[in-house]
Amino acid sequence: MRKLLFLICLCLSFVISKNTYAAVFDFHEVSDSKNPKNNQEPETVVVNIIPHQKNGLFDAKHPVKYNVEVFNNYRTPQDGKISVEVRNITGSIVGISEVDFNVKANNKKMVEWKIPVENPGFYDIIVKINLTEYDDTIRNVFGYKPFEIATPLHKPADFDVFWQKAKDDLHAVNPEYRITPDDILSTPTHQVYLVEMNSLDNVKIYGWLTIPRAKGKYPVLYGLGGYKVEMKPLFFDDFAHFTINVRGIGESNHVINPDNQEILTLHLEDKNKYAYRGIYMDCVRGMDFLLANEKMGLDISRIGLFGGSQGGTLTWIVAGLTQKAIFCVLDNPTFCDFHTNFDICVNRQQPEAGFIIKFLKEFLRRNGNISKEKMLTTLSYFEAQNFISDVKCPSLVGIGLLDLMAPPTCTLSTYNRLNTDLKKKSEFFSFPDMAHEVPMEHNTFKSTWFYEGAVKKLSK
Amino acid sequence: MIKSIVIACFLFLFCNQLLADWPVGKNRTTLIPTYTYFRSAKYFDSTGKVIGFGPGDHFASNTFSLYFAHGLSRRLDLIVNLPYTSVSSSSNGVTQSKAGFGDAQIGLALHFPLKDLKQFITTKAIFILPLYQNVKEPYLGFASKGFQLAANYSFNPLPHTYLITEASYTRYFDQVTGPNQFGYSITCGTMFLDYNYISANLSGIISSSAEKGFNTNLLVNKDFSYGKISLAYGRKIFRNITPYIQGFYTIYGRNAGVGYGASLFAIIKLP
Repeated sequence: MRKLLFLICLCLSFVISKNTYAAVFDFHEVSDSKNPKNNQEPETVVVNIIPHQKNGLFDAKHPVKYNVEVFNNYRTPQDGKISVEVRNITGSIVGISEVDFNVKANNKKMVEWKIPVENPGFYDIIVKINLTEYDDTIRNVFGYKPFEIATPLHKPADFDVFWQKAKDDLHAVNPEYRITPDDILSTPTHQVYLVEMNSLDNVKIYGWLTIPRAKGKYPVLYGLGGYKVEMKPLFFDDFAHFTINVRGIGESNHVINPDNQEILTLHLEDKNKYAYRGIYMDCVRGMDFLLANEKMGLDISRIGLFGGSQGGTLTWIVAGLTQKAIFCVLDNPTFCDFHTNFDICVNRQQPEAGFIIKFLKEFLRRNGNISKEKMLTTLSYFEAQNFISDVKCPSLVGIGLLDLMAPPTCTLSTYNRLNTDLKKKSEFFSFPDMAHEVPMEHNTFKSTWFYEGAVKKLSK
Repeated sequence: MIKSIVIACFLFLFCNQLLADWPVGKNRTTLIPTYTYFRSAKYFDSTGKVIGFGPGDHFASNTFSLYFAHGLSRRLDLIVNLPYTSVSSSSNGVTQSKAGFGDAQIGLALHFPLKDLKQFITTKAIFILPLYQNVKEPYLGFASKGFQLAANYSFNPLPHTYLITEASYTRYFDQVTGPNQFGYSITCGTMFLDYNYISANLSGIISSSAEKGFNTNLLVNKDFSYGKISLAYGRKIFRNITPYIQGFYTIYGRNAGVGYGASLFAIIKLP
């Protein structure tokens, strides 16, 4: 009797799952042709999954469609199955479709999947292919109605007071700017200066200022660095460049972090002592330095911010806290929304989940008395989406959709909170095949933004 | 022919912008004020043989022009060139002079980016509008409206180096004798040391018309061809100002003046 019940349950679950998922995806064969790469060694199968929208972003007008392209370089036919699985950002299955599949020897076959999704968000699409002599699993990510994504906002009630106090504390510190020409790093076309200054809690930080030697008042590109990345001078023909090495990099690390702990979680137990309160203020001090040194040939009405990863986040933070920038150019910004980032990554086993959640989980493990909620409450003072309403300049944003360090959901949710007028002036680019990076073409495009952005001056 | 040389210079100048900021950029502007001197005392006859003008005869011109390019969008530039020319033509001991605005040019340049936005194909459509009438000699040109279509391909073969190849077709349409002109241009430039620029250009025009005659006032010849080489040197002296000096010389031709000239110009990028 129990065996019978088990069998009935098994059959029912199969029928239910078949009905649930089989109806979700529409599949049809697009082409079956001679493989142009035939007779290549070694014999293998090459699988490409190609979103119909090049940027991997879909909406009601552009329903989600993918082509799965299979090249069979074997000299024998390949039979088996292809399954397409779609998961939401927390890993829950939205739908599965599995079909029998065969491709002749030295042939290629392309099949198309239509994937109906309803809710705005980013989704993993996982294609599994099991053939006679070849198995593979490929993950890709697509967005559906990405500009409608809005993750919950966790803005503390005293957020503005907290940061005003931080700025007051910073401005109570005499910066004592020390500007030293560096003849070794300077070139015939550019003068490089080492710039040292005192920041919050009298921590000494340093940066590099590069000014073209041709006379004139130069717009400034203020570059902000990635996590623990030591910034070096950069050389632009038509811009001055400034970058700051925040606390935790160079000598300042010995002062604030003698035990050399992970800076991401240094003093995370207390929002007033957390390392990033100082790091954000270091970046603000960098802006203070620029504003105080117009006489060096800097056009302080035209300061643009740029950075990638943590540096991307810092552009929004500095833009929001100072409101002295005319544009932000950023890639793959981390720390946009710690809460959602945690939800996305915490259950993933993939190593690419990145260091952020890994370090936060380690912090919780080391500090058993601190709950996840308390930690996230502290981090909510430091996540970019709470600063974004204070950003008053347009942004160019580039992201890799496979990025788990800066998940697209968190970035879009933050970007979507730019005010409507700014969003019209901003631009967003996504790259489905990339993780924590952007392609060369986008890097070149940023210079277009630098020049366009520098046309306008900061309105007073 | 001087008009052709002026046009060629204009194209040459336009190409020079590639080095730093090209296409011009949305809402950005490039200004290039230019002074060009040209003198010719010999000519290529209909077989290409070099023959001297009569004793004391010559053709000379001084041209001031202002080239303006404004980025209407990332890919589309408005381009305008306004020349003011003074010509002196001496034939059989009689010298005639005249000064005035020449052929204004207004058009659009559309850029198509290629690999990683580091190569471009640019197409141009330019309307030519004469700002003078041919009432009394010496004439300042054909006094004919016209249009020019051009396309170029530009890329950086090496860091800080650019190469541009361009082909153009120009048609003057107020008179049945045209002319029709086909042009080519190859420009290579590089930056060296601290903001010193050097560029070399080879360009030429084949102008064809039923009006085959040759006039020592080179501006009115319609059926000719020539090629010229030029060398330019510039140095950035200010954030957005790079003055240049340029010399050019005709190296071959048919029914065209043999001449040399020099230009002073400055590329000014705004803001």
